[in-house]
Amino acid sequence: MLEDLSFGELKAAWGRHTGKPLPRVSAGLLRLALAWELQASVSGGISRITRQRLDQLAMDKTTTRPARPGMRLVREWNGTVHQVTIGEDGVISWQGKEWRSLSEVARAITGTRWSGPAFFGLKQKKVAA
Amino acid sequence: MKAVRCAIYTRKSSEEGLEQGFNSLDAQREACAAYILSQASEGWQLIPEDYDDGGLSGGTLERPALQRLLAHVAAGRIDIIVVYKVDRLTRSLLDFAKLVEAFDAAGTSFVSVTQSFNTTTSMGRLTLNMLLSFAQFEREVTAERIRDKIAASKARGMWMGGIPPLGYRPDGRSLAIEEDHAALVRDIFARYLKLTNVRLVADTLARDRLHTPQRVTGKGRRYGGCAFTRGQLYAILRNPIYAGDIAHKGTRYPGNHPAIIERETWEKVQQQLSDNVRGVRQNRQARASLLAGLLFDETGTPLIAVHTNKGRQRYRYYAQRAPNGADHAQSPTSIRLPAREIEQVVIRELTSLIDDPAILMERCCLPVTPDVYARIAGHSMMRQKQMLEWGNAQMRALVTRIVVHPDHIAIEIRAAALADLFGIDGSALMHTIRHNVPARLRRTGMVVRLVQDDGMTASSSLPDPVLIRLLVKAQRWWKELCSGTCDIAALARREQLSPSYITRVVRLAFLAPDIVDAITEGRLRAGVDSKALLATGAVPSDWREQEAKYLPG
Repeated sequence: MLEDLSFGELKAAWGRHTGKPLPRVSAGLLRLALAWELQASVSGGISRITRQRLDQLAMDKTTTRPARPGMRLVREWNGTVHQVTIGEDGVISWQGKEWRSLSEVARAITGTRWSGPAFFGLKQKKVAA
Repeated sequence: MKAVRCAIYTRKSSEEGLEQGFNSLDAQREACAAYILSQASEGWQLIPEDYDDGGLSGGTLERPALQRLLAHVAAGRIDIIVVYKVDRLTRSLLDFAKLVEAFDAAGTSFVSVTQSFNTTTSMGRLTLNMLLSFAQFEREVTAERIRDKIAASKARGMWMGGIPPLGYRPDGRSLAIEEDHAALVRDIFARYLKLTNVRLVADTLARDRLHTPQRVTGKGRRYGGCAFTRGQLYAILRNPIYAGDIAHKGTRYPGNHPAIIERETWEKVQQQLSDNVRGVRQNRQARASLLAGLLFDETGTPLIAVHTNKGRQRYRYYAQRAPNGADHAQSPTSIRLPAREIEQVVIRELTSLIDDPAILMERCCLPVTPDVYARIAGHSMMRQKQMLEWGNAQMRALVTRIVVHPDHIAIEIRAAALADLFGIDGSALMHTIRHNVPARLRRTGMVVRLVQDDGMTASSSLPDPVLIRLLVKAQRWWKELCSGTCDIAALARREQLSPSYITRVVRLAFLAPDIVDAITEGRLRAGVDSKALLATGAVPSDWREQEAKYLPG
């Protein structure tokens, strides 16, 4: 168990498991870090979406609401109204077809690359409070 | 034969005694006693106790002897009450009804010596009621007559009594000038015309040691002899009597008394006083709670807006009305919702609904065309802040009712009002839209809280910005530490923070991914904040342990 390892054994285990250079921290913090890395290697770490969201929140300039099941997104483009629905299972459908992402739908509508959340108004500039 | 116990009640208000010498307490008592004696064959017996109210009006029941009599009636010690006339008991029909009720309950009847009837029969009661109706009518007519007489006399310029204004003494039905006081009044008017400021007038009067003259009321009470207050000065300056008028209920009539101030001067003073008024005087109006009259519990009982104060803090709630006068705190099963919590839930739901107009327009049954969308887009920027400014009336225009169920809140919205909000003619829309919010009531102490089903307080769904910043900082610092370029001591020097604080923040980098997700979505367990997460031992190494600690269970 991690609790039983000495500082030296911990350092060795860190190198063996992560392959990263050894951080100059206390045994307690290194033990915590190693436990995190071990659990992340089994069940995955922080998702890409969460990382992006964290960065966005930290920058404090824009907010993106996630596309939740049951949502209906409407966008007017060149005089026509396009409606995208997100099913209860999270499937994005537009014009009776299923799509992998909102950005894909946005590209089909406009012919250019758009951020889907931005195109459908989920991503919004923060108004200064 | 069974003995009938009789009690005599007598009353006399002083003024009546003056005009009718024979109608004294003794005369009443004598007549009643003689009547009882005449009924001796029926078994009537006078009880020795006296019930005499001397000098008290029949307009009130708060008379010591009458109260004593009622107590004895209730105790069953009296069978018949004998009075000289019915109006000895009361002159008010309302009070009489009360008395008869009390008598009936005790099985007591009463007899009037000079007015022949018997309250044990329905006919007798009818007679009595009629009699008392007329007694009441007479009182009211007399009052009206006196009021009319005062109005008519004042219209003819008469002085109708009371404390005379400074500068006058009563002179029959008119006023005569009291010269040294009148000089003071003229002085006050002159000072005001010069200074045009009542406060300055009061100041100069006080400086010149000009005080209100000592006077004596008709009843011998002394008053006056102190400095003029501003209120007194306003009253003097505004009084039409000084211009020779008599005022009655907002109308002015030429008076019979001589004026102290020339009319022209007086009018000038009034003009100046009116010109000095700045702004509009208004009473502060109580602001109705936002959802007052809209909230109901599932059985349809309305929740009313209530509040308590502690010091300067006001705690508002929406609560069930306690049954018949009982204290709210004494009915532990009734709902008592913190006002802010439910108001925020409702506002948040309404704003999010309005921000998603497509769903709404579909439920409103309006055809969706591009120009309608364009218009909605312009209006959908309804900010929560803006709605927080809403008053109860605006909320009532949009929402018909809000029903609080144990596991959800149902908001009913007027489709027509909603369409109006978007600038679309919705006068044809008669239906309401029902919107359900999954939130349940949880009781903490006396107060019921609203809790969303995953254990998070319903009103707080925004991520905690402090926590987010800490989390980002933790990950950045850990990255630096991992790169081997610096240690915690060096970081602490650079950030000008203590090494122990840096260590505690860096631990946040080892929160389980699920907890990080929860932080970014603002759905941590209620009460978990940056302080809790920075505490010693707040981050265990085992993810499952962390999740049990911080995720809503």
